[in-house]
Amino acid sequence: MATNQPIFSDAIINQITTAQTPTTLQNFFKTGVSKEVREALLVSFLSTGQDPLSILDVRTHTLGVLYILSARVSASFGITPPPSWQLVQDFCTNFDREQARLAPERITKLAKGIHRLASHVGNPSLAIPPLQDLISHYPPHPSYLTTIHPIFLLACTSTHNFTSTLPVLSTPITNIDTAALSPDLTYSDNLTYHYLGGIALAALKKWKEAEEYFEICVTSPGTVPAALQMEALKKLRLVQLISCGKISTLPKYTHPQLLRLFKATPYHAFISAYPHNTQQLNDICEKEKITFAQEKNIGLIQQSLVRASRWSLKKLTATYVTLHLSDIAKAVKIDDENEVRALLLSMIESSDIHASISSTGSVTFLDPPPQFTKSDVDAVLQSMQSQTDLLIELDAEVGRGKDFLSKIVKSGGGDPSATWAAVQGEEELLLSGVGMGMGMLAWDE
Amino acid sequence: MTGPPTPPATSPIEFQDQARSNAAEQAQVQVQAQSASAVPAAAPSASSLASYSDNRPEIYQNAIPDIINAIKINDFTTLVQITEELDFTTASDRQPSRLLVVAPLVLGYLILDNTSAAKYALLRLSDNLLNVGLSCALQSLVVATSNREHAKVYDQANALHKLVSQEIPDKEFASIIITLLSAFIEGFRRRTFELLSKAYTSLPVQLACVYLDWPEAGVVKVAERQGWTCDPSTKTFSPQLQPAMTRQTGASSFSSLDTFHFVADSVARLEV
Repeated sequence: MATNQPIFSDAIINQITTAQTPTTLQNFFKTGVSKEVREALLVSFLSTGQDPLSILDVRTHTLGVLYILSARVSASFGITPPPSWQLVQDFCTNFDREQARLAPERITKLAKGIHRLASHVGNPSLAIPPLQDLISHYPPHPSYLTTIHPIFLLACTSTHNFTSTLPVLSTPITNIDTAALSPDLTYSDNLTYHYLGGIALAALKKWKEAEEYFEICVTSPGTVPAALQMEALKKLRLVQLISCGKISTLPKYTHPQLLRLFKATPYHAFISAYPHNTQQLNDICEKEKITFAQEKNIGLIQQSLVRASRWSLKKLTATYVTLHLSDIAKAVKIDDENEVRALLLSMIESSDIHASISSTGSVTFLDPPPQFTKSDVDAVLQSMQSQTDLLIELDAEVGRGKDFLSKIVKSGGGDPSATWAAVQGEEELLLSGVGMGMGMLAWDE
Repeated sequence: MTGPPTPPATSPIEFQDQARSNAAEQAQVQVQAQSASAVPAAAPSASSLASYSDNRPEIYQNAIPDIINAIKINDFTTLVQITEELDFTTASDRQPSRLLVVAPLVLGYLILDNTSAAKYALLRLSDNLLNVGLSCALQSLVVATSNREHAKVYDQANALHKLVSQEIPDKEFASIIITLLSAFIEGFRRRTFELLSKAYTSLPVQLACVYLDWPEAGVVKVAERQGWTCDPSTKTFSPQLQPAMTRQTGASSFSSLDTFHFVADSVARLEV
């Protein structure tokens, strides 16, 4: 082909507008055009000089527009003019999801291209609304993880738009479809999504939720631990210190090498000294501040230091019923009584302790008052029932899997009756709700 | 291989479409081109506060009525939504006019008691805007609120009120900020009052005045209206936990028919 010969997209547009079904069109794109030529055709204009995107309808011709748009946002902008933001936003709001799901890899390309285009125009935040629309419309349910999720979270966290992540993060991921919905989804997409989700939630001081997301990242099974999992573990531990004053045991399926490697980091020493040994904590911070800063954990370290006295105060509630402000000040090593008063108020406000202060400065620690009603109990029971149903469904799905069945047969020593009895026994346990798995696996609302 | 260049707009409709779809980018480019030499160095000054009122880009002008409507009906969640959406589009704007969006956004978050989000809304400002007087005042207010330094919150709010009243010539914008500030202080006082009711069994009147930033007579009047008792001899309040603050632990409003259905369903599931 001559280098200077112009390329027009008339043939492509003709196919898009005359294809009998979207599947026919998808077959055309897959087999009717060679890969080398396809992208060049998709970014080119019509022979009349018109932009093909201006004549195609976003909803009726979703698949065609998806191919063209994803090519245009991925092209070199110096050569090919990028599409307008209005068009990008219009597509992400109004596309036909059934058509779009015929070309999942183009959806990934589009999402990456949107992020790239926003950076190109000098405003990365511009990518957030269209990506948010893509995430809410593309998968059949918000619980499905797609390739758009990590790209969206990266756009939000890199621009400090953390509140934009909340509608997406509020639904935990329980489904992955690599057959049709996201065949190009990778293991690291899952890690990245949950890691960035933890960061966004921690930035908004939603410590419990951040802890969950970091834990999912840390405990995702793999042959070898990923570097991202180590970073997530460091943040997880710091978030736990900030939230509860202590760390909790990780699930048994956490990769053991992760924990071994973590012990060699300065974070392990920091956790060991937390919260009472303030001098040692300050020494560690001073000594390792470059490491903490390089790993972008200095903010979490500082927050955990500020909250150390809170946990020292909380420990007093286990021993004393009444104390004076001055006694508390001595115990938590704060000189100013007004500071202790402010700390107490803050802890009462966030329900970390239940106490009352009198005008004489005497503080009485109280038992937490009952905070639930009958309807709360019923709501929790309903939630438990739906979680149990979900668990039974997931278990049945795993039980139908080829890998699981072959493992059961092997471990049963080839005796089918022993195998099926074991599987049936597990099902009975789940149905009766006796298993302690019920409590462990119920999600926080 | 290169495609043909974008054909220029030839009809009025094409010009309008092009202008509409690139409104944010063009507004930024135009404003930068016009006042590039006048962008102040990173130092707060009254002239920098005045400059954004002189040349309000269309994108901000169009949003002001929606912002005012949301404030009128005390719908601060919608206010935050409107200003946040606008913040996406104008995030790279280095002109002081950006504060027309960010200031209401920050105050909206403070009213909703979301200090973390307020802090990040300010952090998204470009470095030259972070040092403008209005931004500095908002930052101080956010920090004091986040740390629950009650006396400082009122001081910072007063300082911000003074700055906005005296140094911002855009009266409409100043009015928006002052209205939001009043709403914030009212909400902050209310939350502080509830906290004091929960945390104190007896509270010196003087300390209550510091927490609520009211003169003694005013505090006594409001406190007694809320059920607190005041002992004039010892000058202490005995706070009362308000009924709205307590969870109902008695008979619930849960329908008995709903309860019947729930129990019946639960039993049926056990028998499956």
